[in-house]
Amino acid sequence: MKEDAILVINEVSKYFEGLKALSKVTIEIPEKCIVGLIGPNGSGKTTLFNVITGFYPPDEGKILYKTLSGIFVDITGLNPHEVFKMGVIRTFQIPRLFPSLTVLENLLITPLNQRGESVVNSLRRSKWLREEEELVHRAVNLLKTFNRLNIASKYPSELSIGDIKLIETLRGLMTPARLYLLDEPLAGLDLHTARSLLRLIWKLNKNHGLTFLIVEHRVDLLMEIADFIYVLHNGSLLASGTPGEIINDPKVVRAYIGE
Amino acid sequence: MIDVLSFAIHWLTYFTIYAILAITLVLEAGISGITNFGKVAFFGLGAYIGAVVNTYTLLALLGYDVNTYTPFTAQGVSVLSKIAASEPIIVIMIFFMSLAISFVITGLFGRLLIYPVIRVGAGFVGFTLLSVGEILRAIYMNTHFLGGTYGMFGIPQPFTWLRSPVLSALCYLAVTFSIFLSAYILVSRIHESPLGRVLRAIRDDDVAALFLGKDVPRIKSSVFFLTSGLSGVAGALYACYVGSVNPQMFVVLVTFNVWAMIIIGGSSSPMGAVLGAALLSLVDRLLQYATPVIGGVLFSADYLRPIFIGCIMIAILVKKPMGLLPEKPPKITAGFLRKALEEIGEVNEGGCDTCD
Ligand SMILES: Nc1ncnc2c1ncn2[C@@H]1O[C@H](COP(=O)(O)OP(=O)(O)O)[C@@H](O)[C@H]1O
Ligand SMILES: [Mg+2]
Repeated sequence: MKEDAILVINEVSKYFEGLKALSKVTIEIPEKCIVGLIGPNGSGKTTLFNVITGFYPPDEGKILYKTLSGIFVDITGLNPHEVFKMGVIRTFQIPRLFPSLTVLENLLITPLNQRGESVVNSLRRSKWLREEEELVHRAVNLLKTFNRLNIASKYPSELSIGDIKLIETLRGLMTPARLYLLDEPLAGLDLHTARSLLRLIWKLNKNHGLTFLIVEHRVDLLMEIADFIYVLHNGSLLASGTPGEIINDPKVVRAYIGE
Repeated sequence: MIDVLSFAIHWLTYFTIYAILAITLVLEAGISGITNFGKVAFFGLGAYIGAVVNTYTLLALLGYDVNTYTPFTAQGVSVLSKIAASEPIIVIMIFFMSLAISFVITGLFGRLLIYPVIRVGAGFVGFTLLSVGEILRAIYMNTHFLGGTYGMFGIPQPFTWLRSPVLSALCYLAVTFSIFLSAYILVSRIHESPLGRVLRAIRDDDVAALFLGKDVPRIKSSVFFLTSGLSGVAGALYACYVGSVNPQMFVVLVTFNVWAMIIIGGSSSPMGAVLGAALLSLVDRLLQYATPVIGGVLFSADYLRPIFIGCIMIAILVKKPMGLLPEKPPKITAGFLRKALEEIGEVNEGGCDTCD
């Protein structure tokens, strides 16, 4: 196992009533890197995210995660909120915004351990007003980066598909995580917004050393920022390498285009 | 004239007690998505705890033999009424103690009960709690020292010693009103706070909330401790107000009466709950009051109530499907947003002229 990895997925399999969604997948995510995960539809990318974040446990294999103190801990089968608390944030391919919360409120949900989230503190406003104002500022700045200040107090039902997707991703980026798992963050975004998002991801990675694992079908855009790419096909690892190596790999081309 | 006054006091007392139930149901069901179809279980448990503490404990403290002076025999009831008239300090002390005990026991009961079932769907939670209410009723009915089917009588009102019925009723109203007000402030503060936001998120999509680091079962059960405890206090207040408890007072209908209040008022608005409780308790009291006037068994208030409540519900839901007061985004956070937008020169929220 490489020392510089933050997440190690070791021989992980997941079956759905005979369908092998993942079979013996082994992947290492190096810390402070942007890693791409690509593969045709149904190749098991979302299933891998679900297994990592505790949506369901894998049928076999182990998931190891390096904590801040540098020790690897086994996070296989932990609850989703426990995985989140260890610093792993995921976004959903099909956005799951809270429909009765405004865009701003959706963004404000993510930061962990807010003072006003405990029953006792929620009753004493002085305890949480300052923090709340800071968080609102953070959310507003995030929206401003994408020229979306106008949707801050809208409800998800009033947004375009692209904006829903964008907010789903920004909700994940509201709070610093050590490892982000983004499931098709660029899907449905116009090119301008997609590039802004890539720039933000790139900045978070370069300036703050945050690690990203990104599932994406817009491979050309992904290649612009990814340090390393894994390719899944029919539930198993097909190839891995730098973007340059992957583009020229005939196996990958065949998997996407078909025999 | 005096009649109007006592009617008003009577109604307001009922209203404040029911409003505690409605406000806590708003926090449970409307804001947090806990389908509590067993509201009456906690109300009833609190009432029985209030009844036991204000009779048995009181008698024991004053040196009476609780086996002879049980609160469902003539001796017991007459001794209790004597105590109520002559021992103000100890009666009041025990009364407030009973409220505290009701809060703690009912709260813990709610928390224990909800923890194992909170992970399953809303329907299961609803029906588990509904059944618990019925089971508790069966237990009251079959427990001798709780008076069985007849229940317990002679629960002293804490202000009977004041002699003037109006004055003592007013004092009691002051107590129920302050507890109602505290419950209202509590629930609206939670609603406006980051905790309220988390609860609404959980109500919308508990899976997504789980993935955003929220320990959904723990958060729901601590909220349920609070709301169950307050429902218990409402029960104890009710028991001491009417002076008796019996299993027939705690039927499923009570639960749905409270649900009707929040559906009419707006199920995720604390002020809506207050409105709904005021309206339905007024209808209820007016019908009760009118019963002797319109006479006999044929037109008993109990027959008219469901019709009235049904008509009111239909009328309001046709006009306002979300209830009288629909949910609004919390003011504090919206205020911060406005301030932040002004600071960066984005005054007009609709457009984006100044940002690049
Ligand atoms: N909960 C599930 N039950 C049954 N089959 C599933 C489930 N989730 C995913 N699958 C199947 O597993 C395979 C991998 O799906 P998925 O991980 O969503 O692919 P990708 O995200 O790469 O497009 C697909 O064939 C899909 O139909
Ligand atoms: Mg997918």
